Amino acid sequence: MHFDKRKSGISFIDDLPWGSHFCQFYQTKKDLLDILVPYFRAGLENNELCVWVTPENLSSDDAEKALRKAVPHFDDYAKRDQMEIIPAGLWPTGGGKSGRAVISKVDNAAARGFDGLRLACNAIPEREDGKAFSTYVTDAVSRYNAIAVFAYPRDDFDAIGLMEVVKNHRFALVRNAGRWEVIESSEARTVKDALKRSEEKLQSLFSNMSEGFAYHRVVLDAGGKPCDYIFLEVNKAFERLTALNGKTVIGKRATEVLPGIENDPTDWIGKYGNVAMTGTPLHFESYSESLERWYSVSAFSPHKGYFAMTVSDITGRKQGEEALRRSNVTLELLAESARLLLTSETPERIVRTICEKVMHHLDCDAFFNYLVQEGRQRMRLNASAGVPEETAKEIEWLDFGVAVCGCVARDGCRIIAEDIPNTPDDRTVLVRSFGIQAYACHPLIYQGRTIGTLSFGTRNRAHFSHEEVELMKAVTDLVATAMARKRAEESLIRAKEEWELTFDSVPDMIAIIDNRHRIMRVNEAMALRFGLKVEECVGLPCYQYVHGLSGPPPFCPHSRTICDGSQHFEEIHESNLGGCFLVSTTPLRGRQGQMIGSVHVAHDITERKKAEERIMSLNEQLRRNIEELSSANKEIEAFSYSVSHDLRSPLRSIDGFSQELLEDYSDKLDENGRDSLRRIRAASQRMGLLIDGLLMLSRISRSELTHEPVNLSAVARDVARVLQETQPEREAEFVISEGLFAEGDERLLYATLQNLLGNAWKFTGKSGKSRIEFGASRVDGRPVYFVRDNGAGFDMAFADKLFRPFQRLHDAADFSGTGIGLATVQRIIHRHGGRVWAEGKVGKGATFYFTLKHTQ
Amino acid sequence: MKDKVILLVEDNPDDVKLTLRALKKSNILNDVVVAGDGVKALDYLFGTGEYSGRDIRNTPQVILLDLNMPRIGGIEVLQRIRSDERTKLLPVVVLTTSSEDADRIDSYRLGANSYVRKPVNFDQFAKAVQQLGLYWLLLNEAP
Repeated sequence: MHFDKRKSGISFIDDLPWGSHFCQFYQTKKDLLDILVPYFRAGLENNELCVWVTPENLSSDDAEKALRKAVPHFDDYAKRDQMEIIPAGLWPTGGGKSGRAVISKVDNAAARGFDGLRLACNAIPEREDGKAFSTYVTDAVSRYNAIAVFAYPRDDFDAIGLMEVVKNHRFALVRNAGRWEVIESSEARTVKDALKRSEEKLQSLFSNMSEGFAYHRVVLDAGGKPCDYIFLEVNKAFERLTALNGKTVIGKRATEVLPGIENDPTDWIGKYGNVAMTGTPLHFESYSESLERWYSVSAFSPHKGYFAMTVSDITGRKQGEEALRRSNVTLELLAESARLLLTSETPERIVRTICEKVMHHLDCDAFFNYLVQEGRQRMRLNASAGVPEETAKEIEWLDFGVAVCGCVARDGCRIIAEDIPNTPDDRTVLVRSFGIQAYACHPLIYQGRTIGTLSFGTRNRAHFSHEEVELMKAVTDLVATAMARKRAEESLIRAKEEWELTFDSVPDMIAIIDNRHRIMRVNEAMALRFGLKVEECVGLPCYQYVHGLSGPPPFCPHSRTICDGSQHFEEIHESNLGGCFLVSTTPLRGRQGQMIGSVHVAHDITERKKAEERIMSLNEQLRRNIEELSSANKEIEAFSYSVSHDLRSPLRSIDGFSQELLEDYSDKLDENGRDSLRRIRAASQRMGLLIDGLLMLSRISRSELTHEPVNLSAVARDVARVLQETQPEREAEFVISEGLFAEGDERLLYATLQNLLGNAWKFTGKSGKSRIEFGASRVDGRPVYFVRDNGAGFDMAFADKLFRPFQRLHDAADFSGTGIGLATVQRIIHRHGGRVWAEGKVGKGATFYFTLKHTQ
Repeated sequence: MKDKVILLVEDNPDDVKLTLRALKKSNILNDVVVAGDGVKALDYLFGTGEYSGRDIRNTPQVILLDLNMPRIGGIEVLQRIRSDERTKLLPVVVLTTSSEDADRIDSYRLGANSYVRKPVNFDQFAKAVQQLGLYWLLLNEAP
């Protein structure tokens, strides 16, 4: 397919496309020369191989002479062998042979660098295999870069034969009345019109197709090797795509149009030459640096020596592919980073490797990874690249709010600083000093908490693309996730270890048992008791190891727990485990709440059991002691009874009969005798008092206490009144606080105050003015009652002896008394759950304090 | 009134002598029948034993009863007196060395008319006997 038109050279015939052929009817030599000389002139001047097969009536010499005369510089053409004049006898006469001869000449023309073949030959109205001679030749011509004229002797044809010839060609030239006329058969015209339409369509397609199209002829060197090619035809798309102007390139050699092409390492000329000479198509894609575009080129050869190429702009596709490739690389980088980060035990350390890769991928020069120090407003450089080691040391610590990274950490928002050298900003002073022009810092955020920053910087450009920033963010998120995951994992492991440590430290034996009574897990204590390792216990049937049975025992609380899903307790004695245990089984449920077993905890209560037994035996002992005590009490009771009777009766006799002697026989006794009798009486009466005191003491211990509210103030007033009545002459002052209430046995509390106030009364008897006080103070919220006097007092060294029975600190001559009173008081107070103590100083009075059991 | 006797139930001869002396000092001149223990006291009251045949309608003006005695103690004597129609209204004064609450409470519960603790001091004892004698022998109307 070719569209270049060739000059016909004949004044009344338009340019002809390759493949055209027409016929001429001649009668004279002049007829031939008239047409064919200008015909060949046009061929010679347009780089066509010209072949003139002359008929018998025209010698080669005449033909050459005519040409030399008409064609300027004919000798140059002749020297080049561009004009072959072949006598008719040397041209094959057979149609088939003649057709092959044409093809051979066409090949020869291409091989020798001609655009094509221009042929003129005599046609013979013979038929071969039923086909006209010309048919073979025209077939050859029409398929190749060739045009041909067939000359027919006018006189050999009648009108019908003439029309037959005309039908076989596009048109015919006939001299008629001295003028050349063009005859077209209607059939040929129809064909021609169709051809023209088709050609127009093709031309339109050719011109308007988006693919560039160019048609070339290869130029061969002397050795028959392609050494250049000539632009024959280009379409608009080709012009547009290659920025070559069709008008200026057509007919030019490639070496002129594209200077240096002959030295291009790709060897374009050789490649295209190969296409043209062998017919092997070529397809490739290439990038033009000068046009900054990608092209897809297909070259093929429609016939030998020629090649056509279609060129399409695939820059868009290539850019898409490149974007896809980059995106794939980015994805691979991210995937690889994710893999490294997520499988790494130390994501902090792997960050360096990953960030270096990302840095190179992004064509960056530096990166910095800071990590926040736990609980501080400060970060430490974890990894970096692109700055000298000393610099990295200098910026190892970074406070929140300092420089770009510090601000990002403080605010939790990324900062992208671009065109840094020309954009004054305090925050970028540091990175500017590293020569960085564009800098992007993202916070590492985990659960809303900033755990560090990751930043990239470049020295070779002022801006980052959206994709670049997105990749940085994606990497930052990956790093944050990995670090967070690691931290979470660590805390999980710590928690697990703590749990296991706790589980194993519990002295109770713990086993986790499944629904089929198989041990899922035990703690150290349990394994130790089995004499196995923890892991050896897994899968063992619990009843076999715990109880040495072939099935669960009837009391098994685990069976009950897996049955009803609630907790059960059982106290068991298991000699296999060596003691008594309180076993609890707590249901263990799966995520869906289904029973999966129980936690079986055996708490060793052997010691507790022993203690219980001890307590029971102690209780028994106590009960016996109480019995003994109560029988002892009964004995004491009996003893007291007999004391009160048996000891008092003789005393009464002693006193009674002494009195009788004094009364009835006084005159028979001298004063000394009477004195002795009086002493006997005094002594026996005193002994009576002692016995009474003892009885009183014993009664207090034995009698049952009543609990009733007692107005101590009123009791004290009553006691004071009685005391004053005994010695109304004494100057004595009683100071008794009002409103002192207590709970207890009124009779005994009365006796207490009677004793204490009585003592005070007694021991103030020798001081001038008595002052006796009864009151209470509060200590720790409990009342402490006191009886204070300004009497004889006592030596604190003996304070602890005061409350012993029969213990007296004063001479009986000075102060009478049995020595039972304070012992009685102490007993009463103790029986009331209280305490009694005294403070005093010789000659400075005494204070007796007592408390009572606190009742609400 | 003077012909009515006082029944003193007392095993301790010293106490018998001192009681008699105290009565005498108080000018109580009634005859005093002394029973050395509970058995003798009951024999007297119910005309049994050595008092067999005694006209028991002749009841004592007052019975001074010791508690702690051999054979039959004072509490049982009191019980028997109070449970017998013939003697249940007799005035009984418990006269004892015991100051045990149980004795006192038992005595009153069984219908003792008075309860007097014999003090060691004879002067006080004499005073107590005198008061008793005045009350039961002179002031109190027998039932």
